[in-house]
Amino acid sequence: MTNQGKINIKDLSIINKISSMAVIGASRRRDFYFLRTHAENFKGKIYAVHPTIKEIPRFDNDCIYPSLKDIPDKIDYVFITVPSSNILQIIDECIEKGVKLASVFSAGFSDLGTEQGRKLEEEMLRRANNKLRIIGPNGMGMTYPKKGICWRAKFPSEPGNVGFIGQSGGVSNLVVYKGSEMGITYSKVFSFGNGNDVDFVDLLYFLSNDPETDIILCYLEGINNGRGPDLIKVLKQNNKPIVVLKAGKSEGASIAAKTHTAAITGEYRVWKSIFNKYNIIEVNSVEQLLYAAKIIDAYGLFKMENIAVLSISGGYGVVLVDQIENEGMEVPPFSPGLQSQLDQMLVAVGTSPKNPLDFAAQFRNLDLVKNTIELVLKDKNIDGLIMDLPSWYLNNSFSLGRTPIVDKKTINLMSLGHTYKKPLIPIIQRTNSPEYREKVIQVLNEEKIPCFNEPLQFLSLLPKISKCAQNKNSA
Amino acid sequence: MTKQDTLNAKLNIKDISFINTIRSIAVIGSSKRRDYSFLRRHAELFKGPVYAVHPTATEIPRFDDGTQNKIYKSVDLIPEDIDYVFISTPASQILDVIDGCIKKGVKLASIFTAGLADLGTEEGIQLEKELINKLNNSMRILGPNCLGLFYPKRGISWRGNFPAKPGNIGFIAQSGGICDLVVFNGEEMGIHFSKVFSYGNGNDLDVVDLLYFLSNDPETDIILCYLEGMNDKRGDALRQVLAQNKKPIICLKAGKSQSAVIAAKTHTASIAGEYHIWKAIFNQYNVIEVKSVEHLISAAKLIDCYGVFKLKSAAVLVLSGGYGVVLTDLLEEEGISVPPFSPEIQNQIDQKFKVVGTGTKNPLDVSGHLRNLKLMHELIELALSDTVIDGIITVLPAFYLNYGSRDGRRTQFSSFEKPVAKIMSLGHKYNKPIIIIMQGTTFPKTRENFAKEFAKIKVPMFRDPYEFISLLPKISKYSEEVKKRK
Repeated sequence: MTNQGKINIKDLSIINKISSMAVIGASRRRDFYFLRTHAENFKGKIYAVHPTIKEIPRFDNDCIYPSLKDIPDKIDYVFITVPSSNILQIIDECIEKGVKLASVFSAGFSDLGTEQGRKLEEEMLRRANNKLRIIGPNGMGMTYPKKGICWRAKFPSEPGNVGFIGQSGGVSNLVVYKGSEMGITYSKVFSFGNGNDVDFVDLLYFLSNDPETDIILCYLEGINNGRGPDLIKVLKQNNKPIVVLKAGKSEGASIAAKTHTAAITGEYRVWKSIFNKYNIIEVNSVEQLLYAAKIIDAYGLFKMENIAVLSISGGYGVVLVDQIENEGMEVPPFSPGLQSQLDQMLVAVGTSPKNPLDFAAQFRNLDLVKNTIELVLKDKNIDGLIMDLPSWYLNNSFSLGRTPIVDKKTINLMSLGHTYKKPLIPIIQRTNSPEYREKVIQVLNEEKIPCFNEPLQFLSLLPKISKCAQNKNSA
Repeated sequence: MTKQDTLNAKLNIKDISFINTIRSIAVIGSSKRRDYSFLRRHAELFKGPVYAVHPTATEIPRFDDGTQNKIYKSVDLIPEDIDYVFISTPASQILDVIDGCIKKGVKLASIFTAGLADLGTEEGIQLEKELINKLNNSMRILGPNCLGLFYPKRGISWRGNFPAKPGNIGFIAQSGGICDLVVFNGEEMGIHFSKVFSYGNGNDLDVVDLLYFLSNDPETDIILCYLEGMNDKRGDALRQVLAQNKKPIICLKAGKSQSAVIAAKTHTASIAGEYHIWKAIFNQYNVIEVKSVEHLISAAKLIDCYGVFKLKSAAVLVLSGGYGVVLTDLLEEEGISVPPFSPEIQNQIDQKFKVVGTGTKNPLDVSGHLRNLKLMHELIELALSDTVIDGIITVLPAFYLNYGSRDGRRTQFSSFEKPVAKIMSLGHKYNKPIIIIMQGTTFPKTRENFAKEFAKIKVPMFRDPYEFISLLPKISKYSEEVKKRK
């Protein structure tokens, strides 16, 4: 508590203890959308608060109350979607009821850019009076799969270990949906909108100390100037990998951010030096946030300087070498001992046993591939392996060969990165059979083998992760 | 000599214009152990009888039974003329096979057989030299160590399940694996090929010859090229071919870094050469250079949809305001501006937005308006009619256009794919590119349906901004250079 006081952090420890909630103001016109999204999975008691409605189809009508104070039980968390003109009264009721945390979806506050909107937002905070914590307004609030708290219908609901903080609700949606396709699952996702009470710094501190979160992803437009010193303190005490996407770097984008969530994006070079100093992995796109999470989730933080390349297409291997070296990593010759072993194993005409390894049709000999990868990953001069894995090569219907569809052997050899604790990253390109490729990717996701559609998606992340790992070791 | 012959001789180019009239093919040396795989692959799509040449096989199941296909012990026993052969015999038999082909009057042979110069041994290099000496310009060779020719219009194909639909894109690569990748990848992207050449060691036909052919091939509009390197002596011929070329050429130069140069040498025995020289050639002859195999295809897709275009200032239209901010950063980093709309256009757009939480400026944050297709149509038309805007980049999240995620509200449409595609085709009407990003999401089926719909109307769709954003300034530059050089 003293520590928190010093950093000036708002206490959000209530989140992991939420056992009851209410949705205030879900409208009939939208078929009680936000009530239904929360009721779909919530693992506790959920109430609807509506001044006039007494019946809601497919909802327990004993749990509808005209106001919060009529609910007999205590309420930990509320989701508010009333028009902004009603917000002050609702906040008063929350305080009276002893609610600890509210997500305010309602827009029409400082995001309007008007004096009136700004004043209303201030008054709302004054009334919350530090007794009620507010996420928003103009945010989607919180998705917390483990408790079944969720702002969207049919949202992926499997709990995980990745935390996400986004001002933008749309970015948060994308991150959750795309994450589920990539096998990334979340501990908590926050869309904090205008962020006038609970802000980026508070949420970062929370996730940094949340036992359910291992990796932190952030989409950041900006923070209030006064919060700089607190942010630094939060970053200093943090021990988890943080991956950040800073939006609003260019002039055009910073104006757009201002309209979007009333955020002042601040000078990018200041941000850049903070990211550097506190060992934060900075990425440039929403997609890369997820790619980085996927790689770190699979292999932790690792050094990636000397890479082995294995390709089925020799040409693709050559291109990969160019791309890898372009990012400042090396594709070095194998050590003499290893090379002489490989020379004896890989003898088919039209292939190459050197780094980059060109396997061509020899790839069908999965025992040989496995032995090769094992030898390479055992070599202390090699940090990891990148390979192409054309899905038509795995698919029986495209070949006359003897290999069944993603058989166990293939999966086993793709898992060798885990065995030797060195990243093994396959690239599965587009094909004429996207359905089949998706199935392959699903299988790899389940085994936590991060695969990508093309090298430019992830190669630039590897030196960043590597640098983060080395800074951490030397700290 | 005809006029064409004279020009070819002057350019030092080997003439292969007969490719467009290939009528008969033979596959030599397909092995029983591999279930005659190359034979079957060529027989799958070829529009005419396919002849198998095999020393011992007298019948091949599902090949000669009940078809016009026939098996002969050697190529000279085939009663018909043979225009094209595919050879996959062991290296030790290659000289005899070539003798037979020359005697038969074969015009073009693809030699899959490896173990010649690519071995890097004196013996291999010598064997390849002998092979080339035998040709004496009476027959042309792709390879050795290659997959040869894929020509969908004639049904010539080295792989099973290759897409049969002919197109207008030509591709040249040393590497056969890259060809497979580009063809399959292209099918998912909805682009199709006139001819694909995998030329391996390239000791007879090389990149210069093939480039000249595609540059003058009436069936080819766009040329893609994966290049490891070429013989030093061909520099002048290459420059001449590039000087006469009028089609967009997109090139991926492999072997830029030191390790990659060595790898290229083992791969196809090619000398990758100094990259800065290549770079200068690409600049001088307005060749679009890309950095990945995937970008080759993405660039082809963009040009196939809109021709070569200038896109220096873009309107951004997004559902998520945050994503719009990121996209603006990514575009401006590539030198593409996201400018304010002209006042009169801005004024009209302002009047159309009514929902709190949206942004009417560029980048347009349409948020909950996305499903109001009438409004979307009007907004896109307004943006395209603005003279300060060259094109539109838009993000369509599959999870928002999927009925599974709908929240109970009704729209007038039973599905979004067709009406949305109609709106997106407005780019063609205004002659300005509209480029779509639809991320992979939990709704792959929705995404795939959209992909098919957009492919039909030639609107490019990508999964990730990195797949195409850095290509836009390259295409813009190409288009400006073409105008300048006219």
